[in-house]
Amino acid sequence: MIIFLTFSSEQEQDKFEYLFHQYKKLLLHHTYGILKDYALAEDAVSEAYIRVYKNLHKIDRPDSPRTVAFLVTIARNISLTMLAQEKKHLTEVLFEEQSDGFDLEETILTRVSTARVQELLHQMREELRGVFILKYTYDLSHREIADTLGISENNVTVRLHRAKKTLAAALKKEGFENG
Amino acid sequence: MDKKEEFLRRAANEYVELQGEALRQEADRLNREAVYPTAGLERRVFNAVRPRKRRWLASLAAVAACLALVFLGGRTLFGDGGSAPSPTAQTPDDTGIIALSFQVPTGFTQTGMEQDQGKSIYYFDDRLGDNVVLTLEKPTTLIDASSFTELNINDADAYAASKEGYQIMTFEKDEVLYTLTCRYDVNTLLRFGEVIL
Repeated sequence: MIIFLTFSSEQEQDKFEYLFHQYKKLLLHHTYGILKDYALAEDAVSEAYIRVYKNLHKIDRPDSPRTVAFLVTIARNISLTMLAQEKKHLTEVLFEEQSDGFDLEETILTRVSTARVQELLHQMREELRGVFILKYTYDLSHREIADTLGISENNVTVRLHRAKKTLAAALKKEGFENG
Repeated sequence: MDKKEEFLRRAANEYVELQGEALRQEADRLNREAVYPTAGLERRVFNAVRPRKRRWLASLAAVAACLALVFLGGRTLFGDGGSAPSPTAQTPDDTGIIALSFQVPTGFTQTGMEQDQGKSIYYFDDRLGDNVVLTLEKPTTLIDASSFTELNINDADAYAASKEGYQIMTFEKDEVLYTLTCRYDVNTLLRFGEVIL
């Protein structure tokens, strides 16, 4: 597919060029780590940049930690999707559960340390964490997350639900242990 | 926003800040050390997104033109062991212009030239967006090489550095000091070095 996109301003172009030149090696490094194939890694990074382009309005400061995490989250998740497609393990799960997955007593939230929450997020499966981060850090809608990661909106909902459920389960345990 | 949503948002943001900082440091390290062939990737990405004309070219030119003055003193780049004057050394014409003596690398187009206080400044557009400014001058000052990485290109010495907001490479050939700058990738400058040296 040939896509031609044009920048709407020089500022946008500057921003995009900075992101490309500053982080291209980082993204190649991460995608190669997942895909173990340089050509596929290049595919993933190229796709990631095109999707980043479509979300340029979400990026205020190209050199901020938030921005680099945004890029890496997108590139790594695209790689994971490609890997799953390669292995034909990608299955569409229908979302039927009604609760939001994060069914916690609010009192537990105040008892859990920030460091522990970070640790739990770090341990979370990357496919789940990626969606979680795009939703809660960058305020992307389910539709936007789906477009950015190249997955269905339903898949976004499922992953988000699972992410919150995983976090809630771990936090509940922490709460009981600490309580 | 309810407390649970607020908690999730805060957790995600704190995680991203922490991871992002580590990733930024990793990016800096990879930019310094890693050698990945990225030309193909650049072509693909910048074929999909069409660049507009850049406004920062002029400031890059100013950087290039001033560099020899900025790095005065310290270790001499082109002292003992530097490239010897060649019998075919480039000489300025009546107007003081030092002409180009190499073929512009593929993917670059010369877009301008100006003369400023004995310096001939050439501008090159890069198809991939990393435009280059080349300054040619007679080497009358010493340059501090302490903050440069020494390179060997076609058996000649060259010196490159990654500075805040731009990349720089400098070398001497045929009694002319070449100073190249671009915005993003020192590999862009190396492509010029390879055709000049």
